[in-house]
Amino acid sequence: MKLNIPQKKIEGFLRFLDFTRSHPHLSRVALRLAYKVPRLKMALPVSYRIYMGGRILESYRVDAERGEISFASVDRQIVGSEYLEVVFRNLAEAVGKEKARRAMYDMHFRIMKEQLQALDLDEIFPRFCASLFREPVDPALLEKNPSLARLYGEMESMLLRLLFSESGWGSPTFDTTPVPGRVTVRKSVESQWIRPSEEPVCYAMAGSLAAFVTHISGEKIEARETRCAATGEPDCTFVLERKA
Amino acid sequence: MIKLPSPYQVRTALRLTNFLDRHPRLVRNFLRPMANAPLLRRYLWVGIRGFMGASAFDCHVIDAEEGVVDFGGVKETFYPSCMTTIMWEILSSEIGEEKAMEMIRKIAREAVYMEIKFGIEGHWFPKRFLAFAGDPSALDAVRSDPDLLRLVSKGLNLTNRFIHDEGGYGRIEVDLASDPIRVTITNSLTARLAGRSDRPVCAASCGMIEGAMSYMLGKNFRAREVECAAMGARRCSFELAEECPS
Repeated sequence: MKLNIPQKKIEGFLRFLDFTRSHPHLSRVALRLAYKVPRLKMALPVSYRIYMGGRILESYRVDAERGEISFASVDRQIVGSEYLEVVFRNLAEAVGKEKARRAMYDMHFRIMKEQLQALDLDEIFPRFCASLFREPVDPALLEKNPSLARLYGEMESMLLRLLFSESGWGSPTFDTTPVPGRVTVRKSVESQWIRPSEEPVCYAMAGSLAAFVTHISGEKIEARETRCAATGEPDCTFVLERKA
Repeated sequence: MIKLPSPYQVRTALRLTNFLDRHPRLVRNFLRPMANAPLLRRYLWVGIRGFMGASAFDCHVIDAEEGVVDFGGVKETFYPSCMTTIMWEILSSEIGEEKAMEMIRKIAREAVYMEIKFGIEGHWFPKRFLAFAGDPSALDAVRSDPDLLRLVSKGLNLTNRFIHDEGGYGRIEVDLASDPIRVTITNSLTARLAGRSDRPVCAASCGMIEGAMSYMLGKNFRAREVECAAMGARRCSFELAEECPS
C-alpha cells in the first residue's frame, strides 16, 4: 500500500470527526441542516453525510419507474430477513446440513468479494481516504503514523457499518484494526432466524466477514464461528485465521 | 364468513385515493413532508404514508447499533444484486440446473409468503381493510364489487411498488380483474442479469408472485412465465392459476 495523503488532511478530518462526536446535538441540528442543501448533499461522500447526521437510505439511487436501486454504484436488492433461514433450510433438505453450511459460506464469501470489488469508494469516502481501501492495508505503515492508523480504523468502521449494520446483517465489531483476529457480531441476522440451535448457525455471516478481511488484508482469511447467539449466547463471535 | 370493509369505508377510501391521484403536487409538496415528519411517521401505517407520497426508503427504519432494518414490522436485509447470479451458480453446481430453478422458486415463494404475512400482521395497512386476507373466497368477493376491486388493486400496486419495485426487482403490475390473474414485470432483475436465454429464467419472480398471492388470497397459486425478457420479449409476463392438489 503506497499512500500519499498529506498529514494536514488526515489531522483535519480527524478533528472534524472529534467535533461531531463532542457536539452531538449541534451536529444533529446544524450539520444536518447544512447537509440538506441539495447541491451540498449530492457533492458530499456518503461517510460525510452519515457523520453529519444523515441516513444511509438517502444515499441510495432509487429508480422506482425501472425498479432499480443502487448504492455506491452497486445494484442492490432487498429481501425479508427470514430469507437466509429459508435458503439454508431448503438447501439442507436437498444436500444435507454439512454441504448446505459450506454452500452458504462460499455463496456469501463470493457475494461480499464481488460487492467490495464493485463499490465506488469515491462515493463513500472523501477522495483522499478512498485510496486506503484500493489496495491491501500495510500494518507497518499504520504503525509508523498513529493519525493514519486512527483514520484507517474510522474508515474501516464506516465500511463495516454501511455493508453490515445499515444493511440489516447485524452489527460487527473488530477486536483490532486494521486486520482483526476476532469479530463480535450483535444480532447477526442468521442467529435471529435459525434458532434455537445447539451449534453455531451463522455461515453466511462467517463467509461475508472472511471476504471482507481477505479484501482489506490481501491474505486468504477464513472465519469460524466459535460462539453463536442462536445457542443462547448474548452475541456471536468469529475467529479469523489465515488459510493454510 | 369473509370479513370485508363496509361499502361506505370502501367508497370513502377510494374517493380519497382518487383525489390524491389527481393532485400529485399536493402530495409531493405537502403530504409527503407530513408523512415523513418525525412525530407522525412513527404512528402512521406505512401504506397510508405511501398514499401520502412517501417512498419505501422513507419508511425504512435503521437501527445501526443493532444492525437491524425494519419496514413496518418486517425485518429486512440488503444484498448486492450479484447474489442472484452467485446463488444460481452455486445451487446449480450442487443440485443441477432443473432442481436449482425449482429450489429458487420455492425459496422465493416461502420467503415472500412470510414477508407479506409479517407485514399484514405488522404495520403495513389498517387491519380492517385487510381482514379478508387469507380467506379462500377473497378473490371472488373482491371481484364481485368493482369499488372494492379498484381499492384492493390500488393497495396491491402500492405494496408492489414498496417491496418489489423499490426492492430492486424491476417494475411489476398486477391485473387482479383478469382470469387468470396476469402479472407483468418490466426490467426484471433476473432477466437483466441472465442475459440472453432460450427459456424463461424468472423462477424467483414466479415464486415471489406465488407467495404473495397465496397468502393474500388464501389459496395455493402457481405462476407460469409466458413471456420472458431474457428470450427477447419487451417484458416478462406471468399467468397465475390456482394450483391443483397433487
